[in-house]
Amino acid sequence: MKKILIVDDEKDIVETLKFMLEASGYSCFCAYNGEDGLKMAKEIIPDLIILDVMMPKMNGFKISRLLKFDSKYRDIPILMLTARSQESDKQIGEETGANEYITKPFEIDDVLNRVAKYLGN
Amino acid sequence: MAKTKILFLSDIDDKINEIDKLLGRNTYDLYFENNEDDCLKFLVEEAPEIIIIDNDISNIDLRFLPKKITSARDGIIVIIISKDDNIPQEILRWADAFLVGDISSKLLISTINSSLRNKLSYNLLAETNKNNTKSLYTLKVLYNISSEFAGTLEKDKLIELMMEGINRSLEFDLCYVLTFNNDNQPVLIIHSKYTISDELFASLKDHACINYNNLFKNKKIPFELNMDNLICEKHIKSNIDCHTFSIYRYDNMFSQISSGDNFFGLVEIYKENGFTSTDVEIFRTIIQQVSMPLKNASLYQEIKETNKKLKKLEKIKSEFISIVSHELRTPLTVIKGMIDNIKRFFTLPEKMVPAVDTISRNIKRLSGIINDLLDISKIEAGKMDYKFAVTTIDDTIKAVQSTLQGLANDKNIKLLTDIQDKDVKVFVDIDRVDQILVNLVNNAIKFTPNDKTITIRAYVKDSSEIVDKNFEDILKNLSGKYLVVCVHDEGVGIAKENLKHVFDRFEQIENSLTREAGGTGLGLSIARQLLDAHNGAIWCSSELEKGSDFYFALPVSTEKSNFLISHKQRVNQAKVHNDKFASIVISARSEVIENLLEENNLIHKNYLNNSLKETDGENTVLTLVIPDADRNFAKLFKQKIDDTMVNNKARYPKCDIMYSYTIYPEGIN
Repeated sequence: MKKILIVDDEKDIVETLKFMLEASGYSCFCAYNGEDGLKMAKEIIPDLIILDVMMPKMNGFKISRLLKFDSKYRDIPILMLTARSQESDKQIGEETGANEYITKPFEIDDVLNRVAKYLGN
Repeated sequence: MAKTKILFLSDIDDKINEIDKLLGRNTYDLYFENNEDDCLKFLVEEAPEIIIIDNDISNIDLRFLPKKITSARDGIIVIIISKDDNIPQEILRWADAFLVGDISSKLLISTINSSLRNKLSYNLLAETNKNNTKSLYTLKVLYNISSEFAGTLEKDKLIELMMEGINRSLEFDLCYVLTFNNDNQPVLIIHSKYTISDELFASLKDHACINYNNLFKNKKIPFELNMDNLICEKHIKSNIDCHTFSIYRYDNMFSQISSGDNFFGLVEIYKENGFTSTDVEIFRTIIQQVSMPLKNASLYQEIKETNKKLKKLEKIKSEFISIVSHELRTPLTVIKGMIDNIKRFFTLPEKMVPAVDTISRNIKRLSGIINDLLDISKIEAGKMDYKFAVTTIDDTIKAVQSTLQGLANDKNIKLLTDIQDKDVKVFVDIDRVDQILVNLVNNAIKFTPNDKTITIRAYVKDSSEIVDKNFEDILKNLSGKYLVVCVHDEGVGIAKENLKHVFDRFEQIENSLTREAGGTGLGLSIARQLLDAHNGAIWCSSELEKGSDFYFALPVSTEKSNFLISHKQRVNQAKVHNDKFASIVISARSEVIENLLEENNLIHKNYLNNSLKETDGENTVLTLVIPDADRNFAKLFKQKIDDTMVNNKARYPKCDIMYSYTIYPEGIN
């Protein structure tokens, strides 16, 4: 089973994503702040990470940058979650190496399609 | 009436007796001296009006007399009597009258009278002249202060000018003004010729306060006067003397400074020598003159304060909307995600499906409202990021058609497109154009009954062909070629009186029809503001029960129109980020501009990134945008161009060049 790490400080958002991903046959790991997220990413080495931008302790951009500049984790696809009003995030997200960019509120099909794009069905 | 004092200077007794007899003591106060010393002493001590000098006097050398007499008593009338014509030149040039030979009483008296009359008229003239000079000076002072009054809208400055004006024209010994500052605190300003004793200072404070209370004895006082809050300012001209309570014995004038119902303060001035009636007029005039600008100043202050408050409120509102919308977004995301999860991963009982669909639909609606609110707060804060690029929009139109096809199908509405000018390029943020078009088509679907048709058309038109008398004020600003997109529906239509207001903020909330159809009514207002950023326009025409046409126009991409759009965005961003930049326009014959562009180290390559070069016939106008530049930079830049052209006459033989610059955002230095 493919492993997905979800990092977001909003527990209910994590729950929502976890629900749809587990229902679609993925195995999910969750972290609720940036530091834990980075630590878990390094321990678990998931097949894909869904990363919120605005988080306490360490924001999504920083995690993305740290992972993408480390050859051990560089190949893990990262999906960035952000609010619609922060479109400039998209640019920064791309610069820090995020593979995809998803706006809240997201469409379930959209999330699943993008995950499938990296992990196959 | 006092008798005229006459001194007769002679050492000849016969002459003395003769004169005494001729003039008679009843008519004149007649005095006699027979030597120079006594004569001069008499002149100083008794100040006679007339001196009669005997030319035949033997003990005085008359040639030296004029200087001595003039210094003892300037302006005295001098009459010479002489038995013959042998009179020294010095005396001839100086005396007012001569009587030679035998002297008759009538002749002497008439000579005295005519001299007195002359003297009187001279004095009158001199007095008038002095008064005229003084009036002229006062007028000049009045004129100066009135023009100074007109030049300021600051209360403190006006009061200061008023005191200065009163001092210049009336030269007071002491003047105080009791007024109230912008925080309604009482302020006592004292201007004094000399220092003020502590006792007088304390007394003046009380005095001013009592005067103030007396002014409003039976009326409501305009400002609460609390002596503990009294702010005092002392301006002392000279410390060679000290004013004490004796100042209260001086002549004084008092006035309140007010205009209609507005009270600004009171003023009192003291002067030892007393005031003339003209002084009273001048005092009144100055106070009157300062009242009007003081009224304007207080109005201006009010407007400034209100404006500040409004701006703050506006900011709070924008921030509030922005924060609330962000906060709403997270729970909304969860609700939407979970409902979608339920719909997708569970098989719902058939009866439950419509309920869940209703929830879904309303989540979508809520999400749209939040997005609208966020957009409008961003646009109003000037924080909307536009990513302008030159592009065609036919793909976007097709994409919108296919996105909304489903919604149209639900009502069996035919959604058609008719794109005439496919390859026309515009300078737009394509996501925003998509947003505008989605909004218009969404509205059209909402308001169109089942089984009708909606058509999206796109075509190029010259601004002269874009006419709509309901939107003249918007459309008259257009110039050049535009790509017009029209969404035509066969819906309920809009009443004529509402047409102009459909783009106003929250307008549709007022409209019950729209409430049925849903939406915040912000969509069209957002569209209008987005088009404004594109230098475009949005308008509509409609007929009730027949349908509506919503149009929007985007300038067809040219170097100039794209530059103008970028410029608008640049000004906006400079405002938001507190930056400034210079826009420099250089106009000259085309080869001059080309040569200037080729000069090394003259026009930095980066400046050309945002430049505009327009060539019309032989002339070229070059507009450069220089980030972070101020007035000094713009001036130095011109100097550099001038120097280059002067130092290189071979390349620039005698040519005209026009240069101008503007610093943006306008109004900053």
